[in-house]
Amino acid sequence: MPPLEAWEKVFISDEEFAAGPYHFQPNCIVCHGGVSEVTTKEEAHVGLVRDPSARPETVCGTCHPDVVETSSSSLHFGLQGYKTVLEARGADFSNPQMAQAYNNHCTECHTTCGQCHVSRPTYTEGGLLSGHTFKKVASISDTCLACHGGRVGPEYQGKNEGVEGDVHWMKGGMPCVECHTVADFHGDGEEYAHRYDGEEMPACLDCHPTVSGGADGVLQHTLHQDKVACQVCHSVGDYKNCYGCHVGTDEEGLPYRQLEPSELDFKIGLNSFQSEERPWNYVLLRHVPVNQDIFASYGENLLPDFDAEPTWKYTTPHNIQRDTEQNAECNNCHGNPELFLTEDDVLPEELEANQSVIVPEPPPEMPGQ
Amino acid sequence: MSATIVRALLWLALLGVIGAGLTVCSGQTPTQLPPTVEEVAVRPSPTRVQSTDVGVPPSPTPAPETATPEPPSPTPPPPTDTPEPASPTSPPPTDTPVSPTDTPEPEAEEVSPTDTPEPEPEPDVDVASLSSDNCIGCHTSQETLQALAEEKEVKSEATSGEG
Repeated sequence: MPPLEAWEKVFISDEEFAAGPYHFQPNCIVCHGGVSEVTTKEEAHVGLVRDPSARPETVCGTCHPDVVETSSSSLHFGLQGYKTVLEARGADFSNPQMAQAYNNHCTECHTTCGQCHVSRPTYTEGGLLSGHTFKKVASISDTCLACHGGRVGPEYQGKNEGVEGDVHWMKGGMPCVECHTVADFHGDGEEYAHRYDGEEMPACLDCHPTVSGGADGVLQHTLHQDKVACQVCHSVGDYKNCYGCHVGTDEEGLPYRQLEPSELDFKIGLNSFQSEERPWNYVLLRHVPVNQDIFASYGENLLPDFDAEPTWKYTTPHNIQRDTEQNAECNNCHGNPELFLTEDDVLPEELEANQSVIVPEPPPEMPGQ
Repeated sequence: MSATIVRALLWLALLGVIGAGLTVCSGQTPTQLPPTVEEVAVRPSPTRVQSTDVGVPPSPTPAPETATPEPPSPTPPPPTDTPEPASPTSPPPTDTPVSPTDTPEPEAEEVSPTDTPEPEPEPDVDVASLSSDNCIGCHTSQETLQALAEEKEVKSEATSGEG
């Protein structure tokens, strides 16, 4: 998403100003600080707070206390998923080098109330969405895909070359909030370790209950339900995998990241965290943008337990279709090692990390099929 | 010395002994002393009355500046419940019995927490009443913003790849 011009980011037309009275009350300074009745921009901006909702309890919470009460548990706000996986890899946040790396790069993905409801996320360099009008329902293009436009966005909208988009979008035109509830964004007060912690949010069966137990008459649903995640059969094709991410700071101290070109691929692997909510043996895997020396420019061995977590992670590609190549015939999966993550697919230095997800032997070919 | 004078002196001495005995038994000074430092520290300060004025909704077009009686401070001090410090001249309490020959202390007025003299509160600026006319004037003017808005470099040119 190309960034807005500097002036566009803070421009509020007269029409927009007149249209959104509530969040202008009682005045700009109550939320944003700054100085009244001075003559220059520099004077007026002394003490200015660009994003007051970074401390939601002091501004948003005065009118929306119920929302703010749970927001600290939101993964969007707290980034607990990053902390969880980095700690599992041995990150010590009391180490200033690790803390610096985290603050420079991981917190890019932190978002606030305002960055979804009134402006673009800071990750995309910000800028008001529509004057200062607060949008109750965030925009799929300017908000959700501003951050999730690298992998999920192209999958969902069919923009990965040669791969059909998701039926929920291509046919149903469903925006993100049709499946993802408010609690998914705002948090529900529970502390989750990462986005796949706890119940599926959303679960396919919420809208397709007849699939459960094969009540819809589809034999494969009966046979595979607790063994294979829905996406394994219904993801329509390749999705993005990222490799070789390196981060650091340049000569001016500005953070940068360098990522090798992504690769489209489709890999079925073992479910490394089976649970009551996710009982399957097989799930889809995606290589995430991490490697052993990702933080090397900040210090040596900042992830000493790197191998404790796979680099091929459980994923839920957003390119769902009823009919896919792999569910057309039993033996499109059975006995087909191409679709499964085997040792040959894994970088030698990452073999140890991925032992829990590598498929040692793909399911055998089904005779007579 | 006449017998009358001698009797009077004896009576006075007797009364003095009785008075001294009563004072020693009570163990208290005859007058109430000011509160201790600790007592003052927990004393609630008077509740500051917040202005209930609500700023006038700003109009889309910048309104002319209105005269205000006192220019608001750009950084008004936040309301505070910090207890007032105790006066360093407050004498410490004492349980020392007062000898009947001591010069009686002057009668002190009873001091209640709310009677403690406090410095005049600083003028409290109600942020809600400040004018946003300047903010609105600039941020609704494309011309002004095009002239004044600056892009602060936040991303390194060394960034490459997707994401």
